[in-house]
Amino acid sequence: MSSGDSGPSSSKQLVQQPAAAGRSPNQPPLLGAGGRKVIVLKSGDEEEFEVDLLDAMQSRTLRRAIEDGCGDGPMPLPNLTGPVLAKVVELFRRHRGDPRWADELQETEKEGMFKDYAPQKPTAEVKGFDREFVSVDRDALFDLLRAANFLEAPGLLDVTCDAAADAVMNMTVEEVREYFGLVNDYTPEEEAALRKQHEWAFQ
Amino acid sequence: MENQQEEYQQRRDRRPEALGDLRLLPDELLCAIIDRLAPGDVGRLACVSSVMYILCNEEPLWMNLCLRFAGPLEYKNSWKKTTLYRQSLSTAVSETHEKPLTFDGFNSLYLYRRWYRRFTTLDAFFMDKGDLERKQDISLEEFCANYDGQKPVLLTDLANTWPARHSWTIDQLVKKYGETAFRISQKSSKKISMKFKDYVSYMSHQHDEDPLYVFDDKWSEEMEVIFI
Repeated sequence: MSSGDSGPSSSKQLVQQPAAAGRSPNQPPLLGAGGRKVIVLKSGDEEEFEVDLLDAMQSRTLRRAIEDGCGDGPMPLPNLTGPVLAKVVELFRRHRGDPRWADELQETEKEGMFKDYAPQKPTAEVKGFDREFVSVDRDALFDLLRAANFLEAPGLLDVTCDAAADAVMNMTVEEVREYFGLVNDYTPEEEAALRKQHEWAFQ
Repeated sequence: MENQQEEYQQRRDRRPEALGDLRLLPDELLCAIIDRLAPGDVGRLACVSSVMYILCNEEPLWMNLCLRFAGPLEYKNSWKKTTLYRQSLSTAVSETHEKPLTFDGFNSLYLYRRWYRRFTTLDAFFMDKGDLERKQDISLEEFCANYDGQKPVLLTDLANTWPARHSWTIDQLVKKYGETAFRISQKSSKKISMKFKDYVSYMSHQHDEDPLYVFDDKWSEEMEVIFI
């Protein structure tokens, strides 16, 4: 099961409070229902998502922004679309306590913010979610990969890069060219020499 | 005609065509994906196009691939060769002088930064520029009178007579412990061991950003032998 917090529907229950005037950047971000801190992410197409602050911290990019005091109002993420951001936010929620990034969070431990965030091994349920998460077509996977790269989120990167590697694995040279619309820019001589050099890869 | 075409190919940016739709992914992502493949997959990808060849021949990539396998490790001057040798993929590694291909029209800040970190010299960070006073054999009175709290001084030649100066040289250690296997550190959950002589050869040839270290788990048991 997921970690010992408010459960799978928590992100829906969280309510954004209006930002009080004159908040200093060092003050903790908004508090949601149940005292959890919430930030709002805004996609390029103006869709807003409420995210548990601690879930958002899985992204180094968001963490830096939050630590710089940008977490008070909606955080614009113009290069992510609503559907992509929705998927990403869901993955962050499911990856709560995932050791792929939780170890790193312990280092930034401040004011006991992460005290109920003990790292734990991904459960079978999380692994199942991850598999489902990347069961998308090639272009959608590219979108998720680029989101992972922009957000610098290790868990998201892991899941998406694994999926991309799985897609390429065991493909022949011709299949790779076909699948990605790659132009073979070798001369016939170069290609023949390379194939000979890499004989071991064709056995 | 062919020459003209060749010239044209050299001038343009070859990334978009040689990567196809993969051009949409930045180089660090492409590297992270290739990192997850098996040596055979990487070998085939290298035959796909020029930019793939470049990405698939990166030494940091082959270091990761190599360290994924448990067992003894003998460094063959490059991580690619080492991996192929370890995996018995290429039988005549030492004989094949595989000439690496080079391609114009491809620039990658990501690959360059990584390359720079591997090859940059740390010589400029050396603290002693020779402008510090050196003293051999200094008395307490002289130190108090001339240096203490006034200016820095380097005390030299204090260890000249230590036996370790002669017995703990690399040559001596290789002679005595060359065949001893050590556990290597780093990056791998697998148990990888390296003979001391192979580690010394690795030390002198490697250009890794995050080089391997050796550890001796039984150091305290063997300590006596080293000191004698």
